[in-house]
Amino acid sequence: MSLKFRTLTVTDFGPYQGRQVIDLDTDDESPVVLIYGQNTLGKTQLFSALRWCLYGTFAHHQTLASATVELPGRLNLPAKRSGTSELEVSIDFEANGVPYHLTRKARFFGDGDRVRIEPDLRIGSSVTPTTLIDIEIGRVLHPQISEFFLFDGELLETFYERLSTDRERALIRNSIEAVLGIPALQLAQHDVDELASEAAKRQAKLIENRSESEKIQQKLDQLADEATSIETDKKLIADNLAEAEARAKDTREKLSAIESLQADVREQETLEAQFNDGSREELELQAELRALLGSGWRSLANAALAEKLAEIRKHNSAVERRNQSILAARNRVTALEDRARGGICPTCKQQLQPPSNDTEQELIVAREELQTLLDETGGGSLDLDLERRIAALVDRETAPRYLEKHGRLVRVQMLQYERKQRLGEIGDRLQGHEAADIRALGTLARQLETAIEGFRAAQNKNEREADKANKEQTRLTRGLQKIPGASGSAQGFEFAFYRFIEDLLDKTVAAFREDVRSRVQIDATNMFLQLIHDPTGYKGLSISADYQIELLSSSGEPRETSQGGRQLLALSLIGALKKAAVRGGPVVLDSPLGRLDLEHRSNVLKTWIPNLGAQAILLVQDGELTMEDANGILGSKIGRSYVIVRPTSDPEVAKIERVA
Amino acid sequence: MAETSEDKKQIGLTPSGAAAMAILMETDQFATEYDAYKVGIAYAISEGMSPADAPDGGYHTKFNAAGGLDHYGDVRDVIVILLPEATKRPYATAERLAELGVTALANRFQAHADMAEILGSTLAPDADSAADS
Repeated sequence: MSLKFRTLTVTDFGPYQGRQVIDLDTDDESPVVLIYGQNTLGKTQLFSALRWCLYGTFAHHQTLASATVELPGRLNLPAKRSGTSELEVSIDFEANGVPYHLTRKARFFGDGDRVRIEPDLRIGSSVTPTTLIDIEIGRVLHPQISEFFLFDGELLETFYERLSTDRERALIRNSIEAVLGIPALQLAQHDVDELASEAAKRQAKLIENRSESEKIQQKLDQLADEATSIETDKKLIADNLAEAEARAKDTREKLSAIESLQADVREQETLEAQFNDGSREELELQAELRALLGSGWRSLANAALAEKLAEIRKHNSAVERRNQSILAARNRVTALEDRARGGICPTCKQQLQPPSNDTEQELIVAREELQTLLDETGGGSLDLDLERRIAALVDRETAPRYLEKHGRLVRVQMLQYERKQRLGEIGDRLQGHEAADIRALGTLARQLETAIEGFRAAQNKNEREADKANKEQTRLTRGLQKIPGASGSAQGFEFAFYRFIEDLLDKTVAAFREDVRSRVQIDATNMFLQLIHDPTGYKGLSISADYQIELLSSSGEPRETSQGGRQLLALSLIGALKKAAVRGGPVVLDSPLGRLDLEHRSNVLKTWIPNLGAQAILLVQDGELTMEDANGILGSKIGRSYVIVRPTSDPEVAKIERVA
Repeated sequence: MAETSEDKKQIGLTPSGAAAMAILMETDQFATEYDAYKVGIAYAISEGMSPADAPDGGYHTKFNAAGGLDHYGDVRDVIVILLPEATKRPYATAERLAELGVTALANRFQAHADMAEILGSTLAPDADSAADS
């Protein structure tokens, strides 16, 4: 970027009444424009006009609102008194070969305290929309770098102090970096960072999609395996089914040939089972009968025992009856004897009648009857023990039970006989055929039917599984196709690329910073040593990464310097920055030499000014630089010279006149 | 009615009786020869056979009377009760009755009778009514 002012036009601005045009055009051989003016004549007003036209403010850190408040005071008073209500500043400049015409007009209303600012920018023949004017100006000469190119010499004294405070140094450092073009890199870095972030998001989405697609692919692979397995199973089942059906058909044909024998075989099976059960029952019954005979052998003597029992019971009954008769006879004798004796009745305790003859007679008869009974005792005694023993030997249970079980045994034996007969008949019919073979054939047929049913069920299940797997495969494939980046693309490398660029820019910015810092340090040191009266007392300048500047003694130790030395240091830094700046352009300095002694002014003019580039505009007063001194020092470097004069006695009016 | 010292301790069958016993066992109607022997005694009683009709000698001992065959003493009781004259030698009487009964049963079986038929005859109403009257 190269920029060069062509003209500056002020109209009713400050002390400049009417329209005054300053031609600032220079060439590379004579890049210096000198504008002389005594104090209070209007050098700084001209400097302010230039800044206001460019940026709408009068000082580097001033806000637009503050500048607007200041504007009414900038209207030329004679013009105002004559009714003028507007001021205007315009600059013609060229940037990269393109002509720019910038005009900023202020219109005042009411009592003059209300103002409307009308900027106008023409780039070539194109009119720039008002809203884009500041952007366009910023693009060619950013306000942040104006501190070093529209430099107010009054600030030289404080420049060094400002560099020693963190806040100010941060502001200056930002401005320095703007001069050096680092923000462009940082913007690029920021842009790349944004691109990287966007790429990261896309990458994340891509990774997410890939992860999803990989999962789907895995499922698809699984499904493919399942499909293969299902297909294998399907073939196996089909083969087995075909074989089973063939065997079943063959078996059915064989069975059909011996169909009539099948019923016999089935009956034979049943009969054999029944016969086996009957044999078992027969054996059980025979064992029970033998056991009954063992325990109930006496039952055969039951008749004799029963007869004997009847006999003993009869005897015992007769004995009991006789004993009862004797007892009754004794009781009668006793009762008659009591009555015969008289006295008190032992039973009712009443006085008995005296015995009569009849009583005596009855007693005699009773005693004779008792004796008769006693005389008949030859019939034997009571033998209840024998009766009980015989009764215990009589067995009335064994014979009926034996007969009942025997009857069952006979029935079983009859059935067994019939079964045996039937089995014999069946055996005759099955002669020539092995029943076991026929049964095995029937069993095989049933097994084959069962197997066929199983294979068909498996076939159905297999088909359902295959159908399900196919549908799932289709669904997953469609899903896979819908996932962006699932098939893989260069997008995946985008993030890595941006990160690489970002990293590269980081390193580039850091390297560029260090490079320009180093160059600025060297250039500033060289300039300072050229400007300073006694360069041997200084080793140079030390500029840290954050642009903290220290002056070093010849031994390399930090050292203090005079007020003038600090101004030279500031000029050296500005010069070095100008040299290192990527944005070449004019330097406009307002009273840069005012605080310097004659020798240092000379040094500045000789060594510093020529290094400022293609265009340097110096606003100076006679006290700091006379025309003779300037001509003597700069000679042909001076392209144009102007002087600000007061044409009348009115202190509010100044005029710019061309000197050479 | 205790066992007397005159009675036999070991009882058995004559060879003829043993042959009859073999026939009985062949019919498979008896679990042991003990059972068949006692059934023979009872059958002889039921048929009113007289011990005196049995052979007087020639018996081969086969069983221990009181300790084996008649462990519970009911053979002796039946003999003593039904044959009071045998009270002193019940097991000697039982041996004779067994010889007669086993032989008779063998004859019946050989004539195709069986124990059910023989037992059935013991269920004659007169027998029960005689005991219950």
